[in-house]
Formats: sequence, C-alpha cells, structure tokens
Amino acid sequence: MIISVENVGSNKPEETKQGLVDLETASSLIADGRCLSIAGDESLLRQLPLGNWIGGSIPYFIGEEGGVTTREKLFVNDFSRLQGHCVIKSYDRDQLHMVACDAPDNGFSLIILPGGSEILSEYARNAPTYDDMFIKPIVGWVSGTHLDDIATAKPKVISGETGELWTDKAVVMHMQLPDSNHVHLDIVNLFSQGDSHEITFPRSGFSAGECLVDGKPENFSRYLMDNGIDTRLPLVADYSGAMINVSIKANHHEKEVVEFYAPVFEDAVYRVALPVGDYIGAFEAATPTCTNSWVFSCNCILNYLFLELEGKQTADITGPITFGEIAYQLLNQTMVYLSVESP
Amino acid sequence: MIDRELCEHVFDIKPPWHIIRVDRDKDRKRVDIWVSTDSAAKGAGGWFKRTLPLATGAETGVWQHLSIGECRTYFHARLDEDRSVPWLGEKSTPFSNAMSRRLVELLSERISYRAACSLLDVDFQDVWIVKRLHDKGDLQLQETESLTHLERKANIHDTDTNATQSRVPPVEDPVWVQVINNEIEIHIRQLGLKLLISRVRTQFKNASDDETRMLRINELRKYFLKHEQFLTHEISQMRG
Repeated sequence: MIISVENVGSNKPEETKQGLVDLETASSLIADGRCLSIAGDESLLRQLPLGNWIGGSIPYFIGEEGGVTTREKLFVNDFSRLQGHCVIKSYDRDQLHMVACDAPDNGFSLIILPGGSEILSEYARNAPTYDDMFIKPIVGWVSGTHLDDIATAKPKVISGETGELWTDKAVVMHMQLPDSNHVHLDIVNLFSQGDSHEITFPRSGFSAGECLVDGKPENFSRYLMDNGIDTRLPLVADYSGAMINVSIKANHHEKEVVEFYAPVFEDAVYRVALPVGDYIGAFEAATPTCTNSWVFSCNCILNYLFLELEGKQTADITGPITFGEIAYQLLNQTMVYLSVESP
Repeated sequence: MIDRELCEHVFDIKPPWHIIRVDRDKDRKRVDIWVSTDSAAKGAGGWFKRTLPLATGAETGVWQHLSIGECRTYFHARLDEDRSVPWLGEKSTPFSNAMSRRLVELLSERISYRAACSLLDVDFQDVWIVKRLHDKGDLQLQETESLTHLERKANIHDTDTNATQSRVPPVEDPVWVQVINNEIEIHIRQLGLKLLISRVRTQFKNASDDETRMLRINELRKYFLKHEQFLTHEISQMRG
C-alpha cells in the first residue's frame, strides 16, 4: 500500500507500509515518530529532519506504477505497524563483524552499506563467517548513485538519528519484535545454474584470472571470450538449494582478469546462469503473493538495466533498486524480501 | 620487580625454555616476558637487563597469554623456536596457544563475543582474527579435548532441551555428522539454514580437530533449536 499524507498522524499505523513519497510526506512521517527506512537521492536525504530512520542514496525504484528513475521522490518503508523496538547503529570496518551479534533475538536487522566502499568489501568477503550470521535475519541493500553521476558522486548511507552521512560506514536498524512474531527472509532468483562447465576459483575475491574449468586450469577471462559467454549472465553457485549469483562487472581481456560485483569464494562451485527469457512472467510465477505481511523488498540495478524494468511492474513488488542486495550475505541480480507474520 | 622464578612457576616454564627478560608497565597494566631456548641469550642479556633480549636478525613474535591478575601478559620469542608450548602461539595469531584454546572453548559454550572478550581481557579485533583462522581450519589448537569429553559437556546443555521435549536431535546424535557430510540429504526450506549448512560443510571439511568439528555441530544445532517450530519439515527428515 502506498503511503499517503492522509495516513500521517491518523493513528492507523496498519494502513501505512511502503511506497514512493515526496519530501514533504517523508518529513511528516518522520515528525510523526515513525520508524522508517528511506531510499532516495542524496540531495533529498540531506533535507529530511532528524528522527527514527536510516537511509541510503539511490534514484532507482520499483513503485506502484513500475520501474522508475527519480531524484524527486523517496521510497519509504514504515516499520511502525510492527510495534517493535528499534535501535539504530552505525558500524565502521572494525566493528562490522559484530552486526549479527547485536541483532535482536526475535526480529530483524536492516543494513545499508555504501556502494563501492571498503566496508562493503569487508561485508561481502566476511559476513558469512560473522558470529551469529544466518541465525538471525539480516536484510538490506547497497546504496548507489545515478549512473550518470557514477564518476563524480559517492554512494552514501545516513543515520536519521544524527543526520550523519557516510561513505565508509554501514548503518543498521535493529528491530526487536514481540516473541509471537515470526520473521521470514527469502529471495527470488530467476537465474539457475546452466548446463555448462563447473568453474572453481583458487582464491576468494572480487576479481579472478586463474580458475579451474571442469577441474582443468584455465584463465577465466579467456574462458568467457572463447566460449562467447554473455557477461550479463551471472555465475551461480548452489548453496544447499539456494542459488546465489555473482555478477560479472568487467572482463579485462588485456590483463586477463575478470572483475565481479560480489566476491567469488574458493569453496564454491559456479556455473554460468541459464538465460531468463520472459523476466516479468518468470518473476510473477516465482514470487509468492505479496501480502500485508511483507515489510521490505529490494531488487538489483542489473536486473533493472539488463531486463529493462523501467516502466514495468514486477508482481506487485515495490522497493528500491540497489547496487547490491543483502539477505544475510551480499547478493547480485536477486530480489530480496522480508515478511513478518504475527498472530 | 617481578620475580623470575615466580614467573617460571606460574607459567610452568621449564628447560630448555627460560625467561630472558621481564618488563612490567604499571600504567598500562601489562607484563611482557621474553623467552628463549638459547642458553647464550640468557648469559648475554642477563636477567632483567635491558639489553637485546633475542638473537639479532631473528624474526620474533608476540602473543597475548592469560592475564596475571589485572595485568595483560605478552610473551615474546623467536619464530624459529618450537612454539608448541601454552604461552607461545602460531605466527599468524595474536594469542598464545592456551589463550586461543580457552577462547575457542568459551565460544563453543555459546558464550557471546562480548562476554569472552571481557572474561579473557582481550580485544574484539584479535578475537575476530583467531575465529577466522579457526573457522578456516588454519589454527591448530593445542591439547585438544577428546570428542567424547565434549559430547559429555554437550549433554549437560541438553538437559534443558530434553525437559522441553525438543524434537531436535541431541548433539551426539550421528545424524548431525551425516547431514553435514551429505550422507543424509535433506530438503531445506529456510534460506538462512541453506546458507548456514553450506558454510558449516566447508568448515567441517577444513577442520583439523574434533573440537572445531563439535563447534560446527553446535552452531548448526543452535539454528535448529532457535527455529525449531518452523523446521518440522527438516527435522522429520533427520529423524527418519
């Protein structure tokens, strides 16, 4: 349901959930004491009043009317109706490994990391080994910029409590919920492992040259070239039934090195993904019905670009379009959603 | 002044090892102890003299050991010495073997990070380094306890669980190892469990000792205990 000005101060928190709003409405929601996650252009985030919210920069969204690029609106997720207790914290690189330990016993933690940052790299590489990781739900996204500004602007995150913006810290909203509530965190990934070769890497990292293809030493850059592989397709690893993507950022043929948007891990076995024909149709078929229990979702900028989602609706799912998605660990080209069931 | 013999007694330092120097920093509540097996170092440096304590040119290491009262204790030694003694450690670790082992024991007892840091008077960052090495199987714990003993300890934890008639198998049930080793294939519905079990499988494979393997089993079981009411599908497959 779209948030409207009429909901503000109406004492009907159950009627507000998530949606694209203008600066005035977002400010009113903050002034109303709502507990919010806000995504939008940095210039708008800077104008918001202090309050109980966290945010990140991004101008791409899936709204009720479909995919949209705008610097004039903010996407707001209102968690007030959950009647939880929220704590906002920022983490630098040395503190980040505590994020899951700090997460509430029952509830969830929403994390926003600045795109292209050292702290994102730290999280991407090491979050799977953090203490209490996977035990408690951690959902979130990676902030970004308008693609026109990518050379001049840095992705930001912001704590609404203090108004501080960061390019080198993570901001987290830890939401403790009543014991009777059940949080469910899941993903919709339309990509699956293709029938092509098994690819493994000798070292974890955001780039790779050496690899093994079906057990034989190979250069990954050359492999992509020689096999005419569409680099818009991610590598997919099977984590006990969960398909986890690693998207290809660039193939530097001259250096024979391939860059990724998330790290490949040395223990994982990858295959190039099968192409997705009808993304919208496949997405609607794969996505559970969006009910009132859904409290947060986001999708990937690469899906938005490669699958041309601008102006298109995706199974009633709305949210920011991000430079990376978090469902416990960093994901690529994946839709993440969080729902809260209460009795 | 700290008495050398007292130090040797407290830390059970025996020949060929000997202390060649002890420094105490009252303000920082810190004691630094240099040890060597080189008898020449003892003669050259002399007890408590501030001369070069270790052979020139040799690479040295420093490891935080269990504290003396309120004082953090650090041992220094050459890296080419045999460091399989409790008060020295591996090159890549900030802690002595005894401290690393104590830390892993505490974490396996489900003591929180913060509590472990407080109990042992160690820094978060150092704990994190040791945990990463341990998870990757790159840290060989000295004097590891037997699996049987760990199982006995784990059974103590199970007393409460049994009282509440949990359907989650006890920690000593071989089904945990079978699931981790993929000898029993279970269909998993929860994303968190899929990701956790994948990580545990890798860590279990890389584990160099039983204590580490038991830590991994406990971690997986912790997930099941926490989310038991939503895991009937998975638990019923494990129970056959």
